[in-house]
Amino acid sequence: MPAKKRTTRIGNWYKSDDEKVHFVRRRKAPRPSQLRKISPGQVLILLAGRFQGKRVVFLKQLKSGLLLVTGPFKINGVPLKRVNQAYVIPTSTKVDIKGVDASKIEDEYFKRTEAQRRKNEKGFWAKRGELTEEQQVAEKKRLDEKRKTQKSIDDALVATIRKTSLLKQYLGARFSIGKTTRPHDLIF
Amino acid sequence: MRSKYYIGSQGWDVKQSCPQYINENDCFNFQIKKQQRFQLMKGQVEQQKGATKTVKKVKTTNKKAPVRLWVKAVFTGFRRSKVQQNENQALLKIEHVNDVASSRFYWGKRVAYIYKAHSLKNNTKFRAIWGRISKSHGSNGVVTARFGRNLPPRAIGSTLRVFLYPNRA
Repeated sequence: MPAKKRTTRIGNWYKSDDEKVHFVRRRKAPRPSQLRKISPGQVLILLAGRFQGKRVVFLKQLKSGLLLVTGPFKINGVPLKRVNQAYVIPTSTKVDIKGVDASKIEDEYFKRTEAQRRKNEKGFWAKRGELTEEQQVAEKKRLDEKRKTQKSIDDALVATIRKTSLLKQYLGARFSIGKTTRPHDLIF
Repeated sequence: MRSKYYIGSQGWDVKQSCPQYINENDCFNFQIKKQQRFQLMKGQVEQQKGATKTVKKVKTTNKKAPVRLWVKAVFTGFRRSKVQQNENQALLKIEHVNDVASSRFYWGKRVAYIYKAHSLKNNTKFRAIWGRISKSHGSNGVVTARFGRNLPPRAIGSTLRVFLYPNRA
């Protein structure tokens, strides 16, 4: 009977120690960054980006650690938005967000769709950026849903905001540093 | 009513003169333009009268007003002794910051040196060198900043922008 042939070669050399198992530090669930002195309903000032200086209402912290925030849109044009804690100044003004249900909004809400990513294609790739009929319909649907979600959250908020005097104007105005403003002395 | 709009007008140190109004909330009040202020007051007066006709919606935001979210700082020079200098560390004199305690607020804040170049890059002729404020220097509020690329010496004396982020509060 022919001997069973080895399928792998025996090398001249093999390690004398056991193979080291690479230690993988794996968290079961990602832990969001700690919220510093910010509580839901607080008014925050955005420090950077398109809406810099805008005062905005904080809704909740998302799983990624970013803060979910809304203008409300009707008041200052800021939609539902994610913001990093470090790019925000919390103020002492608080809005009651009892009637506001933001539980359904998570990071997936802000994920870019294929159609969005390809929207600004230019030149050689311009054709790829053109949406097919299906994609156009889907885009429209997505935007409509976005508007609905925005409205559902903002309606309750705006109603509460209208009750406090000057709060609507406060949220509509932008924060700005003037000639003698000393940010290190300001108490927000 | 009147006091709310006139307190904290620009050119007047709010903290020293009126300690109960150092709230940022009140700083906002004088940012409303005079005309809009009048409209606001008018609107509220009409509401008080209990007018049955709807009050016209008052636009209180001046959308075209420039908004500054950075503090001015002068680049006074590189960290140096009499005959030697270290170009990796830039000394910044931040406006209205006169002591170490105040300068602590700015530690870690991002700074930008913005200048104009001839050619277009990223659709703009403006370019920036970004850096961060690393530490205080001396006892009078001067601060050291380190940049991605060292600042050019022609920037000495020019104004840099110290942003309010990252906010460490």
